[in-house]
Amino acid sequence: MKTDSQGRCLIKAKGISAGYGDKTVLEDIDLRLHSGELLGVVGPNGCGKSTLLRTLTGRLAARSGSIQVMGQALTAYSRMQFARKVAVVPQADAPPFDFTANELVLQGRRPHWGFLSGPGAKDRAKALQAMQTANTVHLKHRSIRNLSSGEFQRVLVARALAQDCPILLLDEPTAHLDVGHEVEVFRLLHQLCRAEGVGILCICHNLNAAAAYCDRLVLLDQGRIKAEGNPQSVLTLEQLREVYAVDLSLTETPDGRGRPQFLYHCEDL
Amino acid sequence: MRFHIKSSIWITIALLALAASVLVSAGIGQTGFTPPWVVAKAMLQEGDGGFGLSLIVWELRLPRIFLAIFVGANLAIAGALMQALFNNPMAEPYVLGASSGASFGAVIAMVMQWTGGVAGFNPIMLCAFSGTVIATVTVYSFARQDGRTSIASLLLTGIAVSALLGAVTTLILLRSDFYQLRSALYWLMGGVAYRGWSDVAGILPYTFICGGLAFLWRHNLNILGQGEETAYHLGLSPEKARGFILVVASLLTAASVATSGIIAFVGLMAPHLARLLVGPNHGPLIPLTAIIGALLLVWADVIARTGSSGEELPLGVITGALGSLFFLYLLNLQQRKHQP
Repeated sequence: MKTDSQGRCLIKAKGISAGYGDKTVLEDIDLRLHSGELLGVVGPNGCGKSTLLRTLTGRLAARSGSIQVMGQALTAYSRMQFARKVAVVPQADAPPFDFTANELVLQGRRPHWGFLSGPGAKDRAKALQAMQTANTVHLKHRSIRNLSSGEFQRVLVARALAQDCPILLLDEPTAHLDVGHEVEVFRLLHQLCRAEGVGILCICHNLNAAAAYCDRLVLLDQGRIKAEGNPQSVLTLEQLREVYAVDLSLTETPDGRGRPQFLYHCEDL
Repeated sequence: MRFHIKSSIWITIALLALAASVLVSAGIGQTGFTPPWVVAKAMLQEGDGGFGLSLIVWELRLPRIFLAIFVGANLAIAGALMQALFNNPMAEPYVLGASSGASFGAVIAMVMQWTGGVAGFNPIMLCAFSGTVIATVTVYSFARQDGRTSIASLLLTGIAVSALLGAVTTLILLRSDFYQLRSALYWLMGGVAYRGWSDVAGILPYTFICGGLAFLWRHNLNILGQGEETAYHLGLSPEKARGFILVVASLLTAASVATSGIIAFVGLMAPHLARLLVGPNHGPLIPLTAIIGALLLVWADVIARTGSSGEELPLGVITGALGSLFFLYLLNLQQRKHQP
């Protein structure tokens, strides 16, 4: 299914605010995610990126505003229904039990099997396909505790792919990856959007990668949306100075798409 | 498929070992060792063959062996369940204070001399169950942060809850009269001695029903073991899962504590050994961990009844000594793994 970046609206969040205890972390967030779109969420540490993800998946109840997922209110979904629509790649944590990579990816099929039944032949085939897509087939029989953090991260992506959802949310999927694997993951996400029409929201710390690969960016600052739009309009030097308190130099990707790229400058050293 | 065959082989081996252990351990007692074939023959004879062996085996040794089997299986399955619930391989009924909760409840029922019961559960079992639930919920709510439990917070909270409940239990026992004190203390130290077939019949349904439920939930347990966040995103409601595991693990713990007191660390050792053989998949893990728990307790009880001449050692002392060493080894292993 070929779709342009203005596909069907998958997630529609209007005026949401959220927080913990008496602390408000997110305020008045409007956000849309369309099918076939790679949306990047950037912002400094503690700006509410992960809280946004928790709110969009219903782990944290929004205090106000409304969230619609594929035309239905978030709160109207059962856990199982929701997990068939939205797959999440959480931040990688040390796994407590020693499954093989294949077993872990197979668990991504869980929303598609019955409550008490287990994976079948179709699930195994889907898991294998997901591992192929995420370039992790060679890790199939390795124990997840012995994987490098980059390998483990890609296995987590494979598990989310096995879940086979129209919406994919990722929390810093490239945090532990070297530049080679980072490019690989972003190319994979890009391809999923274009070829499969998946709507992807990706939290990302690397501004250059976000600018190069995302169709649209949301810049969060202190729990509010500071800017939103295409990478050129969101990542301006002035915005970055205000939000990150840093001076960078601006250039652009040499591919003719004119995506902004940033250079450190260190004249004052 | 390869892995299924491997797991089936291990489960078969463990079952055979358990059957052999029943026969061999039935021949071991204060009177010395009787070879298994003699024991088997005596068991099949209606009369006692002049030695009274048949009577000793049927009425004294076999009940305690089978009690050890079911208590061991209960504690082992409860351990595996709690480890999935806390996403932490160090969780276990004794470490968590759940056993203290059960004994606290049971002691109250004993001292108050409650009789009757509700829906086929006797008052000791009901109180032990409530105590387990209270202790586990307390530890869970204090040790849990952001959907995970660190080893440190798990152990510290477990210690605190255990200490509190243990102190209150001791206080209650001290305020009761002497006869109750002695029998309660003996029960509290943990053991399967001087029990009959009625005790075996009492605990057996818990092992099979709760063990069966745990096995039915094996796929969900695998997912829950990945952490609450992952389970949530894979469509498993955390509240539902917590409630289910809490009830099943508490029933298993309470049933074993109510019949045989506090027996430490079986729930830690058995799942760990089972994982070494078949991996963390709860499909083969639940049955294997139950059998290994049974094996551990059958042989610990053999040591208990023959270890020192003349007097029996409490079973809880044996598993406590063995298990604490194992616990230290595991703790060391875990800490090394969690270092970056």
